[in-house]
Amino acid sequence: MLEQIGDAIYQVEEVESAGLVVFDEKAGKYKPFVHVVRTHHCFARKLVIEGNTSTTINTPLTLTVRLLDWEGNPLDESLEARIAARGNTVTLQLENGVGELDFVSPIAGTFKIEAQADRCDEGLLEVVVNE
Amino acid sequence: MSKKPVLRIEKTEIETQIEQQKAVLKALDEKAKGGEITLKDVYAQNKLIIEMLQEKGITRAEKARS
Repeated sequence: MLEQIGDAIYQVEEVESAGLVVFDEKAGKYKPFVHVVRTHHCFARKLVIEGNTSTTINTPLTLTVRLLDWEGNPLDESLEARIAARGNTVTLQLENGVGELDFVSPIAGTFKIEAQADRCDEGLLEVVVNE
Repeated sequence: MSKKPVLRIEKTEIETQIEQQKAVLKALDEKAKGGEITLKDVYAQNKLIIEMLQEKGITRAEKARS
């Protein structure tokens, strides 16, 4: 089962205690105590990068960054995102959950573009730059 | 609407060096095609190729050492 607490989604599991017991009045007997264990599943918000996944050297490739909830629904919020590829970073202001940037590379290769923001799952896009 | 930011990949020192080496090799190749290549050019070409292979660490000697 998944549960949202604040800005994070947790996986909730019930684990029977190996030693602790509680008295079950209804059943009239002792039964193992059940621990509720919560583990981080994801953040409630995520960033996604949309756009073409290939371009050529020195040709700007327009990419769109969107803010979604963890189930993929668009969010109408503004926030500052950091977009990075191979140690180069730019700041992108998302207005109403959307922002646009251009990606340019003077060299050929495959580049992993990452969109990050605080308390938010990051977005990834691999772009191939051809000669 | 605010100006679109540009995420630009910067060339590393090695990538710039490789690009320059490739340009020199291409020029020497054009020279050879035109029949104007000299012994000095061939020496420079070979030296450059060896340097490039050594940088990539793919010479037989490099492999044997590793």
